[in-house]
Amino acid sequence: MTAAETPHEIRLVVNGDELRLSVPARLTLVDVLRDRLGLVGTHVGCEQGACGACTVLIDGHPVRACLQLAVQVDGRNVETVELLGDADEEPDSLQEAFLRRRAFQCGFCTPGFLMLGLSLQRRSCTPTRGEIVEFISGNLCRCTGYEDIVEAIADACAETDIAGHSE
Amino acid sequence: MKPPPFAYHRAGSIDEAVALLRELGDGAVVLAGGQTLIPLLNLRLVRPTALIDINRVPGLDGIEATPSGLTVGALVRHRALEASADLGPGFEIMEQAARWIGHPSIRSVGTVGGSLAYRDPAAEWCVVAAVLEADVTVASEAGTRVVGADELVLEAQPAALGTGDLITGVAFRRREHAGFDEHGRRPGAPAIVSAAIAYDLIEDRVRGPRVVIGGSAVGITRASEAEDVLAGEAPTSEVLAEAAEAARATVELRTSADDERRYARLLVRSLVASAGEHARGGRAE
Repeated sequence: MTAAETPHEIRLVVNGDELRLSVPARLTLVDVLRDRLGLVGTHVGCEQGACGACTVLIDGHPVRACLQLAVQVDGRNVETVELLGDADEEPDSLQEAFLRRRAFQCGFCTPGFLMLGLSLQRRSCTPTRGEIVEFISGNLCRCTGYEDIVEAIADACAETDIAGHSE
Repeated sequence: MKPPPFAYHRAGSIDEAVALLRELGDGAVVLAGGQTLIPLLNLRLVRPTALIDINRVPGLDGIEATPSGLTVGALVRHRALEASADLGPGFEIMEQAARWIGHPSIRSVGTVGGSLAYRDPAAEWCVVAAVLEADVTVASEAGTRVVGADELVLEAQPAALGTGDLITGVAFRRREHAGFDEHGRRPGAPAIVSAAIAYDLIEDRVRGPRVVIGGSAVGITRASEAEDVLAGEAPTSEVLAEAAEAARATVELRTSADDERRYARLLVRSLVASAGEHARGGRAE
């Protein structure tokens, strides 16, 4: 086995669960989440950092999961879109807002925008519309034209109860 | 696309990192935030034989206000410099520059050291380091040395860093007035032109002006003609406009197409003026 194929032992906390994994160094975080852990809510759009469909939260901060090696985030706290409620049965405030505002069509970009919305919801101050637009401007949507996404995130941030996200 | 295979090493200290750099040679690259490196790996535009992960090296993520300025560790993430109120007086320029770096997700993990190391002409910290005459601390197995920002980032300078070198921190000089502005195709896209101005005031007259132009159309260069216009003058809008025009007329461009060159020069004039307004504390129109 060459040095390049040596597996590395890492520990990740994913959506509150502590996991131990053995991964090759070149495996990205998004591929670990999708292929190893079956968390396919995080999407691979470009693998270049241009689209943001792979956005997760690492230690509470939004990060493109296609631009992090799994070994690089060893020991960190990762949150994915699966953390949010079940959209069919018990949608949380973000998902309800996206449903109400029709803030998705094909849904491919949606997990990335939901995670950005979650990040904004957790701030102590309700963001202005301009702050929302600037914050989400790094994520691409080819379907909606963005307005409904902005409105949905604004609605969700306006709600004061964020207890559902601490699970 | 997926990264090609490479050996992965994790450094627990600066000593370990520079030892690995020397031992592994030309094929090794440093991994900090990865926001420049990993896209290159994903596209297989680079094929390093080894990565040296420095994210767990202690002592490289500090931000400290000193009597002369602001000392920033190489592993400081861009987001830590987004709120100038946290940085003490005289460093509003850091917030003005940080907001242009990529997008929030990039700024969560991308580092100041990485920005300086890649020496991209569109990199905001390279222009800020040049305008604030920063001292960049570089470690290697031979020891630690200080490289001036001009030597590190200016277009005309040959590469100041070698294979065994690791940037560990940067000390930005505090000026009384400093401002930054840039323009790219859209927010988050690389700067086509960026501009920064810094100076002190002695009896309401500019002392020690520095004007730095950056961006993909320019490279990173000092606009010494613009500096000459500002020196000894009161920094009024008229004087700033004159300095901006001097920069427009004299800056050397990288682009060759006539219409691009005209556009780039207009951007230079506009951005030198607005950087000057930011430095004055006013708002650029």
